Amino acid sequence: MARIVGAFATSHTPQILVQPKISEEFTRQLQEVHKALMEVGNRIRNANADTIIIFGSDHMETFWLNNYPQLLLFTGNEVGGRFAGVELKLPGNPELAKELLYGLMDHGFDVSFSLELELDHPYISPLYWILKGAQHDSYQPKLIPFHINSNVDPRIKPRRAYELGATIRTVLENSKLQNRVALIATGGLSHFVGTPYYGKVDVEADNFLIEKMKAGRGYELADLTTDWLDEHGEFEFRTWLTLLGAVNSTPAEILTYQRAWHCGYCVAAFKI
Amino acid sequence: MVILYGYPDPKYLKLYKLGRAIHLDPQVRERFRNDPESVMNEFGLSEEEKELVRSADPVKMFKAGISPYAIFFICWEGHGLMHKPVEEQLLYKKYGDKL
Repeated sequence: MARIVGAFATSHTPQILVQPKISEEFTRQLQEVHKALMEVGNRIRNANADTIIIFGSDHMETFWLNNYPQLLLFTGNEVGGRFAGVELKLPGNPELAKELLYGLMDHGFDVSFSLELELDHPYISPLYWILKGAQHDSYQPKLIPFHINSNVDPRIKPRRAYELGATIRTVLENSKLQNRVALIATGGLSHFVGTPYYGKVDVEADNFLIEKMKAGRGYELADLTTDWLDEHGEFEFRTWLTLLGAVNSTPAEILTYQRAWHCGYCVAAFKI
Repeated sequence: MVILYGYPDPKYLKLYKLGRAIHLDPQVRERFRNDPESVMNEFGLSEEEKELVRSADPVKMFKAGISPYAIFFICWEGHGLMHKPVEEQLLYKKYGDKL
């Protein structure tokens, strides 16, 4: 079987990489996020993960309105992208990705696939720091990006996102492959980019999600509605829900939470 | 019902195309900043779309049903709201209960 040896979730804002000089406070907050992300990288390396499956959500950058997928799994040989002056290129894991694709189809998830994918900030922003923490020069994991549409309606329902994660776990457990897999979810927490509510951060909603995850009760969050997620700026929590399903809601350790001027930044590790 | 990141209305497809080009292509972004009318014509925007883009008003665009990502591309990146002081970007503080 392929084993899940690590599970993490993180915010993915462009600012994590761009690092605009907004204020001393924001610079300090970003430094805390970078530190937490490098710790994620350190743990992934120490867990000897050979493959990272990363759940992200496109923002009309990688995909466009001529073909906008709900769920898309990268199944190719090599994947990467360029953002904010950083060029990322990693090998894929086409063997494991193909097993996931077929396994998910067998279990009723009609997932699209792509042999080519140009990654943007939802992946590159956190991965840059995670790979730095993993000392990427001497450690090169394979990468399987998994797009879970959280940003353009209609979007996958929270319950379905959680069930997707649980099914991913089933497929990995039934695999004959011996991969050691780290899971990463990216997005959130509360923010309202592009809306009239930009700059608002619903700390109360963030704390609600965090406390549930810390208590190992993430499964209760699958009952959240699309309306609730949008109303509280938590729409990207869908990727976290998929991860929660994949790890059966095992308790979370919060590596950092920063209420910044435009987003509630959070990096979490899940006890495996 | 509170859906902020709604379905992209096909009647604004050209506006979306312009927004994405502003976001992904630095040359289009620069040309838009220097001469928005000519770039809007190039992308074939309708008069309604042009009026929305000219307004540089995220709230007006949002109320018209434009996707918040297209609004970000046009207002924050195209019109340069992202380079203004943070206080000017905090729309929820500016509009408060009027939203």
